[in-house]
Amino acid sequence: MRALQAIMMLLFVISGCASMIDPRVLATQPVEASIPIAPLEDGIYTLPGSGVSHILLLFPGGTILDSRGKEGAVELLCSAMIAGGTKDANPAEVEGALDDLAIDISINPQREYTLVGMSFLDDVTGKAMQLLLDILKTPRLDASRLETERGILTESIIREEEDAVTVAFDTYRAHYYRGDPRAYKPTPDTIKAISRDDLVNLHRMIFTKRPLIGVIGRLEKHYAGLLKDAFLTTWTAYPLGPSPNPAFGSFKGSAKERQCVFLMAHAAPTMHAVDYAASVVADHIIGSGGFSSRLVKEVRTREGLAYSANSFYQTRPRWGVFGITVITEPSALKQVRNAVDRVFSEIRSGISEEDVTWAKQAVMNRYAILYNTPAGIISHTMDAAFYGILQDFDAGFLARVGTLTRTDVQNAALKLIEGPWVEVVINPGD
Amino acid sequence: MKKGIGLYLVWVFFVSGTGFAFERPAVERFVLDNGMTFLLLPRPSPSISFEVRVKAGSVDEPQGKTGLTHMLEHMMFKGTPSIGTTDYAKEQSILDAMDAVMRALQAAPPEERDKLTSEFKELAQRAAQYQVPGEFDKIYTRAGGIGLNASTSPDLTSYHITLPRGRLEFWAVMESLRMKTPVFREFYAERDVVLKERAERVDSSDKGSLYEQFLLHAFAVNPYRTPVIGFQEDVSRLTRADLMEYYQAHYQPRNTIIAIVGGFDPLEAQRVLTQYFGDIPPGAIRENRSLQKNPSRSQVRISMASKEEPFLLMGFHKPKLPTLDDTCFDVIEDVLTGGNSARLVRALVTQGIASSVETYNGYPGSRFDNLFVLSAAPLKGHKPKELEDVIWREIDRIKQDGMSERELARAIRSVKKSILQSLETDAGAAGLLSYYEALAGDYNYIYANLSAMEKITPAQVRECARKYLNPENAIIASLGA
Repeated sequence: MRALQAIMMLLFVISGCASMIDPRVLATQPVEASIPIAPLEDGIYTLPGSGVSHILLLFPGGTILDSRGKEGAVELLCSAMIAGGTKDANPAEVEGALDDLAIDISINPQREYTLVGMSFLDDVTGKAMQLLLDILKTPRLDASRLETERGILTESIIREEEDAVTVAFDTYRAHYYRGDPRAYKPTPDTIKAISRDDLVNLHRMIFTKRPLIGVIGRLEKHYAGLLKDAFLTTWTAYPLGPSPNPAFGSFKGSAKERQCVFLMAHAAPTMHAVDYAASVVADHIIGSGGFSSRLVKEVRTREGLAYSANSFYQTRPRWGVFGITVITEPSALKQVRNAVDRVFSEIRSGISEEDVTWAKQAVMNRYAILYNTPAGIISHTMDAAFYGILQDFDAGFLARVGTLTRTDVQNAALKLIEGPWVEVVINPGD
Repeated sequence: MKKGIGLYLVWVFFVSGTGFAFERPAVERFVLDNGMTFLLLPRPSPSISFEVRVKAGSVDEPQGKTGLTHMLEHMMFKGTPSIGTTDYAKEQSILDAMDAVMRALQAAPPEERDKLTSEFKELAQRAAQYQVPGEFDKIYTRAGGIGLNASTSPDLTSYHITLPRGRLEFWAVMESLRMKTPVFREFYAERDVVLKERAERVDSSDKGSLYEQFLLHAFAVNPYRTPVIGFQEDVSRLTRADLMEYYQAHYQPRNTIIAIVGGFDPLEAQRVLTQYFGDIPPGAIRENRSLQKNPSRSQVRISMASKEEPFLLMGFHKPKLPTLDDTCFDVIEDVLTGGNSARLVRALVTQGIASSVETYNGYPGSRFDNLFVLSAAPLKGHKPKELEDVIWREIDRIKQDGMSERELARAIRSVKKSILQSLETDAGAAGLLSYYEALAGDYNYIYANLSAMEKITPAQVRECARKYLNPENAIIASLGA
């Protein structure tokens, strides 16, 4: 082994690597790129495409509109709209046309909005538009297909209970958002309770109001007009759910999969909070900055306790959440808890200037390419528009990151790691 | 016929009659004297995506060393003599001492293990004093890298990252350093991580175990018999010396394909790539002599009891690419599951028997003859055997009646769209181009296969189905039957 390494080292020197520029120096050079935003042209967020065109529609209202006891209704509506035909064409005819023309239409409900996406080759724009508008405006919700989709959704819920990570996040939401719609998840019983009338009502609530529209590719003026005129009612911002009323504490659960999942989370600064930028940098240092973050170094690299370990910080104008997840074996749970405690304790004793500099540069340098695909740029732009985030938010955020001091980041980190927590352990073992 | 659908069909005829032409991206192939191949696709972009493909997969592992390729992939992030350490000379001697103690520990009688374990821990602590964990990753993230990751398949090991425009030379420095002088520090803790990964992906789930058993039974001998992640007993015996030997045998310039897509100047790129990678010696590639052709066999059937939801896997042995038969299976794949109107989706999902059905041509790899795989999940109240019966019925339909011209046109159009979509993003294009350059020997296979599809007749597809989709050529595995 040693001889091999000596030979490699010799080759290394002979090949002239000693004269290489230090990559640490190159890594600190400022990036050339600017933050991309999809421009709003005549009411449509537009970017150029490359042969395949994409249309994205963001309709306000998502699974938060599910009523109690009928959780899963918006999800069922979305799948029934795709599978259930239109006023003028039965389900098989619509599916046949979509497949023949290689048109993909998806309707994906999020918590607060529903995203419709369509991709198509440029030579069938007219037919693609017709199919999309028929599906969105006059879905047939064919009775037989509705029952098929109900069965599929029920099955997917049953299968999700096998997955320990999914069960962990469901358990977390149940306790963090107790008492509001975000706490409740669909079950076979709630899916069974949903009537066709429920779906018709939800369709009216979501799909009759003018969505935010994004286009990647060429869309002739005529088709752009069709899209804009198809939904005439304007909308005002939907309520985004009440402030959470968490039940802090430790909760256990089980999943058919035998992995142990350790999750702890709590409220964190919103994206309009004064310490938002510092919290992003602190999260990078704690556990979302890859192999160099404290959590990954302690749990994975040093101790070999887990393959998956990270922190997360998700935020919008009215809410923010910070948490940690580790997937491990039940027998290693105690060691994982101790490792997390050590990470927190190290952070309490002080984050170094070097770590802060690294994390600030990482956050700033990657920001320009975080949304570097057309779909990423347009989704980011539309998401910001939905939440009323101003266009100069990104620039302001980056400027703020640039001015952060070690104390700013240290204080934000302390806030992120202090309880109380909603702590969840799935498959804790004996 | 109603108004809407009539118009749809007229349009379909028009489209299938004309075909849909698309512009191929202007990719430049740049080969260094040592054989390392670069595919360069400059285009306006705020970023540059890099995809490194090394033709070293789990098929190349020697017997009893399963998981070696994957373990090496993990260790390639551990740094170099100049990255990841504060004093490599001192660290190196401790790493060698750790190897010696670990060898002694594995052979030691029980009464000596505690002493050796303490000695090993003490050495690990001493090594840690010189180590800078995660520094390789840290330098990349500082530079603004996103998507830094790697993956191992039976055929290839792949490393990818996207960086802001202007970072080409930085990337070349980083990658040439780790290609020339990787250091496998923190080896033993990482081996534990890999065992945890195996537990997470395979051992904790009956479905994961089913896939492992499926391949073990499908292939009597290598190449595709063993799991990429390795068997637990093999992984726990891997050493740093094993890794170095394998690395030198397979991580050679002639085995390495790199695609670079995004915002860069191609002439400047050639200069930089020559400067940093041109001095790597060509080396000799060692073939894995244990690879054998699988003997023909009769149908194999596996059934696993489970508390998890039922699941069905069916596989059929078939030739690798580039062959007409492999292209025929691309068409069969689309005919069976290429959309909600595809035959199996209609027969299983629309009929309320299954919640999902999927097909995959070329499982688990494409360097050698492989499998055409179908998987399906039954809805409550239905069993895998019912799904299997429906699948056989639909297979028989293809074998007897073939397929329609409409289905063939649909498959071609769908593949064209899928190629265009993969090329839309820098990372997608880098991945697609490098994959086919590595596996088919030329990225233009993407278009050659499409042309081949356009020439295929329904009769050829029917003959292909008759030749391969037979019970005696099948491996069938079910969970909770």
